[in-house]
Amino acid sequence: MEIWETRREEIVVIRLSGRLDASTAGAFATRLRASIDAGERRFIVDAARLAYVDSAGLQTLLVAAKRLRPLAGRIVLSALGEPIRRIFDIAGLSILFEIYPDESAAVAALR
Amino acid sequence: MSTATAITVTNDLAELERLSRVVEEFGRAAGLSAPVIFDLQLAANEIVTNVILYGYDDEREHPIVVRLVANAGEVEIEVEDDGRPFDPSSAPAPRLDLPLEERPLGGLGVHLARRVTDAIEYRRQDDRNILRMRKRTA
Repeated sequence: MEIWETRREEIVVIRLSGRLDASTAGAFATRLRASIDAGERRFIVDAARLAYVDSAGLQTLLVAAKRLRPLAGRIVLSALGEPIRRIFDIAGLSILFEIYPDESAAVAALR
Repeated sequence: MSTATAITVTNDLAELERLSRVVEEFGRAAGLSAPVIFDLQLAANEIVTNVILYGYDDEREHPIVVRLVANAGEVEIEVEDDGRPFDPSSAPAPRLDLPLEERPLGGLGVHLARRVTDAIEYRRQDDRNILRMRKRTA
């Protein structure tokens, strides 16, 4: 898996590519934790190039969302492909996360 | 005509990538669709991940065997390990209607594996867990 982090104004954009599973979720979790520790409060996780996600990846997102909620922070998702979106639906995460069609829509929503 | 393969991985999360690759090659050789291959990878990954993370009381290396068989209209995945007894087929389903604050972090892996397959059977035999999952492909 590759993790690309960029910034659009006050928003941290994390672009994931490849496979987000138990062997790679740790690196993603570390990145999110460090950013929240550093005071970041608005995140977009872009999944346009994400090929695979399983429960370990979903847990990482849940942990970040749970931590951001009392800090008035937000973590939203963009560009979920059909297989990924289906896993979010089955795991009951689609109702917990704001999901936008692309990164620009997510940025507009977080501004 | 049936297609079959088996792979033995060790209890190391780094093995997941190799496991997924073998499942993908198997799926292609069996002529399965991309969504079916995705589900097989997910089911195998989730069960093996659980075994690696929670199955052992020691730090030693353990083999985990994954067998795949594709017959007409159905694929079977079997995961065999020598970890502590654990029956995913009887694990309670996680509550997915709870708000974020109350949403549990655990239990999602087995839930996903069950939801992307059509049948799941567990047996304990000779101090080993044997989990067999079936998925219809037609």
